[in-house]
Amino acid sequence: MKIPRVNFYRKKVRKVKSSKFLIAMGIILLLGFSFYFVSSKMMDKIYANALSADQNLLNAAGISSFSALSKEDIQRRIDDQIARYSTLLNSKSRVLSYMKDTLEGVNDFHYTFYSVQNVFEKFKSQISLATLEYSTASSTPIEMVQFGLEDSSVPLEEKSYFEKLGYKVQLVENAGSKWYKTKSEKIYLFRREK
Amino acid sequence: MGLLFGNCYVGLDIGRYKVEGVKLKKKGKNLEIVSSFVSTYKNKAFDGEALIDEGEIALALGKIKAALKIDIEDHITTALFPDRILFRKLELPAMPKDQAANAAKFQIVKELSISPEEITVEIESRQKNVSSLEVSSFIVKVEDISKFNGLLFKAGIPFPDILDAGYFKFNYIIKEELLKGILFIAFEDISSTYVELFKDGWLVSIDSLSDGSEGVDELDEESILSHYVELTDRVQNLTRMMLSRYSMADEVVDTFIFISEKKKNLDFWKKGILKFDMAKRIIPYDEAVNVNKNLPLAAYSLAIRGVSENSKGKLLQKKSSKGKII
Repeated sequence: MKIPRVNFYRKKVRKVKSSKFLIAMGIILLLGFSFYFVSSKMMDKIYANALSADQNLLNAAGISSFSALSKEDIQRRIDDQIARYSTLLNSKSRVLSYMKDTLEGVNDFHYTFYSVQNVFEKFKSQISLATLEYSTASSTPIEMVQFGLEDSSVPLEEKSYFEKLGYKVQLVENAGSKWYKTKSEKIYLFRREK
Repeated sequence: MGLLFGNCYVGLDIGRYKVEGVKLKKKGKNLEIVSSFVSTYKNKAFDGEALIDEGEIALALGKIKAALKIDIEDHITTALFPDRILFRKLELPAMPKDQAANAAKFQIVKELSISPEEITVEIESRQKNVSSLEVSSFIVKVEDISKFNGLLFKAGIPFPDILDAGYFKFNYIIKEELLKGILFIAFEDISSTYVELFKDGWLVSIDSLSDGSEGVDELDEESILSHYVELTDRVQNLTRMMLSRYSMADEVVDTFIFISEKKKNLDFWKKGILKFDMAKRIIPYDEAVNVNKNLPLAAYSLAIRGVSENSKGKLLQKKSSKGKII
């Protein structure tokens, strides 16, 4: 049964002992930090777990599915691993480039050599090849080849032959010899003075 | 709440002749009496109802504080002197209870021609009929509350969590079955005797007689007995008037409980009240409660009120979040 209860004074604040207040604050802070650390770890684990689809990448970066590493550490390791992959790809790509250049250079060389051989067939005993100076892209390790010399008395025919093959040919007078200079490769043909 | 704010409840009864204190501790559902103490004034602190020596009360409160080891976390329930409280019955149009409190204050301020800042009004209300509320209002001057709290402050005791009305201080430990039906409680203060009329727990009215316990001690036993015979007669007349005033003249009074501010005078009153024929049961206060009679009962009762209102994790606001009066 409810009998009347009146209260003429409303206390505005309730006080606690300072020691209890400090303990309470300590507990609140402890709980706050604990929550932060636990949730942070949990997030890191969820993050690591979410990344586990690319297991090879994670393994290469030294990250297990439920890693003890922080999210930042995981990200840093992945970035480093991707950078390593990138470097490796660059170097492989460069090698492929070399190989391509080499193959292309060899092809060009063979074509040039074939052309020169044809000239020799056509102008037998009239000219001889003094020097075949063959230059390609700097990355291609092609060496120069030298041939023996033969006579030739039809420089214009030789010139027009090379031009037909797509070379730009220039007649060079040099110490009693006539030289034909082509566009990219230099084929020096020596004509003996009669 | 208890973990942070402590679970000790102190009841302080600042009386006319002494200060009593009881400290209770709530342990789960159990209540443990930690300590109790009574400090009687060495010199007269009141002349009639007028406080003449604040220092005497502060001194007694200081002893209580030391004995009970009161600290800032304890929930303190105490009661304002009854003569400082004005009781007024009002009838208001039906409205939510929180609005009724403001309406009652507005009406009282108008009637007394006083500034609203100068008084505090507490109400108990119930629906009288479809269109009106029956309101019991208790009016106290803010200045009196400050002075009362000043007594506690002087003794280094924190301000109270609950500041009750002095004539209610005994009520919280009365046996539940005695509250049923029509109940009168007569409380003999220093120079007045307050008579409370309840019907099924609802406070119908409070009235008073200008006759109290002051100076009775100095009389011989026969005169003391005659004082209580006379007081009983006057109380009986007053109860008849009250019943008549509230249209309850034909109703039978179930219980009459009587209390004196001076505990030892209760035995004289027990003898003097034999002629009281208004009620079916006439019970001295110490028999109306289920408590060790050696405890300071008013202080214990106040502490129990503190427990009942604070131990359920409730804050001290009387209004709940729904705006209903608890």
